[in-house]
Amino acid sequence: MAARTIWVVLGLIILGIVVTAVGAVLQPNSDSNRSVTFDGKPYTTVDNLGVALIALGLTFLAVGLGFLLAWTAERAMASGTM
Amino acid sequence: MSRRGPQAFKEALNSYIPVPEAGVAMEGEHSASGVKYLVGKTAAVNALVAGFVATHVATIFGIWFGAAKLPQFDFNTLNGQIALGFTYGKDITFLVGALIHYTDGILFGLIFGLVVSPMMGQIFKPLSLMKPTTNLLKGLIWGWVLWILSSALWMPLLVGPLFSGFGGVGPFLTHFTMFVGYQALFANLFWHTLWGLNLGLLFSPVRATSWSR
Repeated sequence: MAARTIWVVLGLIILGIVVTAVGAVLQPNSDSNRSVTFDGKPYTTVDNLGVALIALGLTFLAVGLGFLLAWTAERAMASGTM
Repeated sequence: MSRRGPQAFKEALNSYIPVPEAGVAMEGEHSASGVKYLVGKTAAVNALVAGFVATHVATIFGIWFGAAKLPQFDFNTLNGQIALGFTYGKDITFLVGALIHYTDGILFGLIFGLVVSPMMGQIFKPLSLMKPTTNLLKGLIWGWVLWILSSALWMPLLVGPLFSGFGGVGPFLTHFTMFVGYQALFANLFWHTLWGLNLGLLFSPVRATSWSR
């Protein structure tokens, strides 16, 4: 069970890195990195797919790291070190 | 002395059931329920703190989104503009918006801790386990629920009229034009994932027997 959990976590982290990297490559216009600013300023044109992939990749990465932390806490509790 | 007669009716008929004192039932490390929290002794205190921390971390990350080529999510300014319009200065708008935004985030955290998290455990049996990974999953699910709500309902209604001069927004935050694309939907997903992640990590009730601290 523990081994499966850690593989799923590692898979999420690697998937997140890959998807983020693909998105960063696809997003060509680095000058307009603040593509949408919800502060009343006009929007600039961006590569939707590239930015969406960066956001999705970072989401996978965050979820993977979160589960790694929770899993570590769980193991620490089970072993009595927390 | 015999307990028959009027004296017998001073006790509840089901008084053989142990009833915890008011205010300590079901929560706190000293309660009869045997549940421990990361912060404080009650679910409410832990949920309030977790809601505040989760909102603050996600808000700060949202402001930093630009560094990762994502749309900047300045929810403080956005809320301030919704409340005040464009008539006040940037500082006032930001601070008033922050007050509204943080109140929202903390209350959603409180709702999670007191209502949503216990309900998820009742509805989905695998989520009834009081473990850090299960608690994290619950926080993430609540964050994603709020992502759907904000994208599908609230943000188009609130942001649309405000920014109609810039192309406006449509269903699911975007009308798929060159102005606001579907990228904002995924950036909003990332924001709410960060919020749910921190909420689930910090609001983590566990059985006292599994905690040796």
